[in-house]
Amino acid sequence: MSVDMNIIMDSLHKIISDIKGQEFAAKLSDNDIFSLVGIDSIDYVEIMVNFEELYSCDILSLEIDWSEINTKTKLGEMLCNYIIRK
Amino acid sequence: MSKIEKIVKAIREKETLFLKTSGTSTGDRKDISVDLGSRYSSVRRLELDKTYTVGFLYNLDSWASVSTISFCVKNNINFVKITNYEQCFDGSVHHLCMTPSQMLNISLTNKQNLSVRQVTLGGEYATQSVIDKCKTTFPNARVTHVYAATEVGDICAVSDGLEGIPQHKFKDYQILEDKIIINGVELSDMWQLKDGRYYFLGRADHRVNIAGNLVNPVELEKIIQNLPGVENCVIYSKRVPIIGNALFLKYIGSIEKAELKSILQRKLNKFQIPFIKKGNLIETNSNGKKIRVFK
Repeated sequence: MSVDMNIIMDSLHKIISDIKGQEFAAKLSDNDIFSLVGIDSIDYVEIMVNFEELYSCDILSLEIDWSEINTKTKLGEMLCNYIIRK
Repeated sequence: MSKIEKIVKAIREKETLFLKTSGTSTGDRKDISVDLGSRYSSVRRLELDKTYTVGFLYNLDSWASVSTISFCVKNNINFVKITNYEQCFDGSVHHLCMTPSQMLNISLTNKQNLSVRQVTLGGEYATQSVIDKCKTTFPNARVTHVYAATEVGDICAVSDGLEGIPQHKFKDYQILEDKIIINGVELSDMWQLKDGRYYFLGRADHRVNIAGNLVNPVELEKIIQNLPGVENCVIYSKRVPIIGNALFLKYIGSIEKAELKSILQRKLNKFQIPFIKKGNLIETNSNGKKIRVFK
């Protein structure tokens, strides 16, 4: 699949916008720590579920330290690497 | 000898039959032996024309099918195992027996059958929405819903067109917060008494811990099933990282995902709102019941 970091970040922005609203997504910077700006654990899983649906993949079964992936940039990098390897 | 012939023989000769529980909570279907000599259903009190044919959609391994066949054999009534939904409309059957999930799938055909005189819903709890859809599809039928468990057999039947069980039908049973005790057998079914009727709240072992909160998927499913624009739905759970478990909703209907989510956000706490997927079919297991829990 041909994807790059920009496409993944755009997808994340769209998903976050659907979940938290356009205004929230517009204010969210790439390095904001999710839990500090109002993205809680349920929002986080919903982002992943929507991403899985969009890219027909199974991210949530990955055995990784999710607590380390706590910003849009870190999440984007992880997802981009995963999609490229897929 | 066919499976049906074996069941008929076991009923006539009062033998022990080996059945499978539905396994709706874990996906594992437990084997259970049923002594047909000591178990006779007294909940079906139907004045049925002997020339009628009973058609049932239940899996042959289930108590619901054995109970139906037993009723027919003892009353000398013709019966047929229905293998596709079209047979429910061909005019050859007058009494249909099926699960509420099968009824909801049949109602999606938007067809009607005026010749059916009786529909018996068993194997799962029948909500008002299912009973109403049944009355629309089979307008001349009396609709009965049966509460039964493979472990104890038929418990009671209700034919007043309303969801729930009238209080007096449970008078001999002990109803606790997370179980019901019937003739010494504990079932993890939860019932709530409201205005003289017991309403099913789901099974205690179906409750799911979502981010530290206990959620009852069946209760949630009932709320969503009754929303306008939702034809059929199922809630299932899945293990996920970070929050432990997540609830997913798969639904069929005209309402769009975003609108449905917005309605749920107004009605429910955040942890109760499932992740929503729109589909074309709600799958059932071999017993005709919705598959609610994924391992």
